[in-house]
Amino acid sequence: MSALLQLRNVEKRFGGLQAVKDVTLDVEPGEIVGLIGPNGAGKTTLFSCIAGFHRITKGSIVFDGREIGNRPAFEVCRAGVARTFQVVKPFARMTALQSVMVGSFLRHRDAASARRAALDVLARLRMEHLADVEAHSLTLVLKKRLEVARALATEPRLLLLDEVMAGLSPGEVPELLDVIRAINAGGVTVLFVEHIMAAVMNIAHRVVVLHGGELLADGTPAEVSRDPQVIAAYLGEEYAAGA
Amino acid sequence: MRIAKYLLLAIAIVAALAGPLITQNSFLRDLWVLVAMWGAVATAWNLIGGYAGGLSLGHAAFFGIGAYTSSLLYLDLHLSPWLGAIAGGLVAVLSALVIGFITIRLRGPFFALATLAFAAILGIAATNLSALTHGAEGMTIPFAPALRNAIFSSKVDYYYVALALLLIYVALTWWISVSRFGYYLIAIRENEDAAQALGIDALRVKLGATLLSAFMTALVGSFYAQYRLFFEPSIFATDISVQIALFAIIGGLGTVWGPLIGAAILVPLTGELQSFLGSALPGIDAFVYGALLVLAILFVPNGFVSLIRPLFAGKRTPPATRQPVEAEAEAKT
Ligand SMILES: Nc1ncnc2c1ncn2[C@@H]1O[C@H](COP(=O)(O)OP(=O)(O)OP(=O)(O)O)[C@@H](O)[C@H]1O
Ligand SMILES: [Mg+2]
Repeated sequence: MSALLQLRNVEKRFGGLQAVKDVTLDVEPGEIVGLIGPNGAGKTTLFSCIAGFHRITKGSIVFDGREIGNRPAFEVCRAGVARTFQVVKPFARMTALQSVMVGSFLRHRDAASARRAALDVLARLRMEHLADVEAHSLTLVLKKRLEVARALATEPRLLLLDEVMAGLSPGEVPELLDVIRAINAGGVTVLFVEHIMAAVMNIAHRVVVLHGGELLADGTPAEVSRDPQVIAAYLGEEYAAGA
Repeated sequence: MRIAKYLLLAIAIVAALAGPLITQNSFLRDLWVLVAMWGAVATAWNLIGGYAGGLSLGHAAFFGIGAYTSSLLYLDLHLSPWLGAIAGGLVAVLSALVIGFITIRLRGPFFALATLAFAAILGIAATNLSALTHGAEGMTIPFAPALRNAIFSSKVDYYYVALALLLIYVALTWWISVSRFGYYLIAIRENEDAAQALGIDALRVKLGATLLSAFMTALVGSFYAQYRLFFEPSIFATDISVQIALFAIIGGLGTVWGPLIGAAILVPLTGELQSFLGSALPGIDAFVYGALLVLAILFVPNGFVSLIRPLFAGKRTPPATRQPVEAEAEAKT
């Protein structure tokens, strides 16, 4: 009833291509929800619809009791939804600290308190030592982490993370999982797209599967990983055998 | 380094305050006034062109609006140009609002072309609305020195007016550069989508910068009218708009001092080239000027301000302690 995010029959067409088809989904406050599916399934498109970067062609998106479908991106962010970009969009010539301050200025008008808030966020992302490094000279992995920091600095209630673990070595994944868990423990609901199944199974309270723009499954990680449809569409037989 | 920094500052302050006093030469005094004046215009342009990354090639429009508004109010209604300048600033803001709504959604070259067209249209209007603007004959303001008329017998007085404007503009730019508005402008320049995703209403912020820049530019336009006491519709010409942009680009885009430094280098350079070469072979001065600009952009791509900035970089992390950059394909994974 009081879901934080409610998608109802959301559809997104690009001309003749239906990238998102009739998606109905609730995200409850405090949840960590993993969104998985094969390449081209429409995961990023769905994020862009929620975050106000795409106009939806049908349906409704309600956040915290307010319709946010087809509202401009900056309004959706102000309402409390922050996103990262799968293809990173750094402020190349700003330092990491300045980049995060752009986010923290949303809730802190004066520079001194925006700066304090930004330093705090950098610390939570374990990148305070990179504060004075210009964004363009960070590695791709760190640029992705900076995307998370920037988004988190807007003090969202819902955080949309699009493949922020891509490129991490298996040894580096647990650290970022800890970071995300800590963010969630701080009261932020998380909806994330990820291809690294071990990470998804480890952190998600709930997993939803998108396939060809349609919602294929919705359940606990264990349920979803046993679902024959999901195995056929995405996980593959080897994964099922290994699980 | 420390000493060099303070020495440079001291020299700059003394030069700025006493500069035009050390010479009686009218040509040199004129140069001081022009450097301060164009430095102020370029500083105003820099808000939209440098910080927000919107390459305006139409700032002559606001400059000309300022000149025409204060002069018409002065000549026809005897309004003091001090007040006329404010009126000119407001007219510039209104026109920027209209043109802003039309152009601000345009990105990159389309924005530049639209601003260019805007100034060109005003130039044509000023030529043809001769009942109001005296057309191609231009506006002549009678020489009647008085504080109220903003007309002075000495160039030194004009200089201090221009210097005051310049210093206010530089101070305002500095203040913006460390405040939320400045961060937002740079974020929009660096990546507009990412800026929107962080709650920034990019259109509104860019429009705000355009309005402020238009107001500041128009004030200097009024000053120019009172200084020269004559101008024509050519005040809206594209080469003036391009000059304004060049001062900021050569000096350092999106920096507090860059536009002034650019004007301080280029204004005397055009004057000198014209007087030394102009008579030798028509057009050769423009050719040499162009060649020097190309060299400057090739060898000092971040503007001349980047050459002195190391002196002032106190708290910045030295490059040696920066993280090594791994060559990594930024391909979508
Ligand atoms: N702006 C666009 N215009 C037209 N088609 C688009 C656009 N963006 C995405 N698509 C198409 O929509 C479909 C879904 O793409 P989307 O990027 O959402 O997939 P995804 O699930 O995020 O895939 P991946 O795992 O590769 O990131 C694809 O067929 C894609 O080509
Ligand atoms: Mg994607």
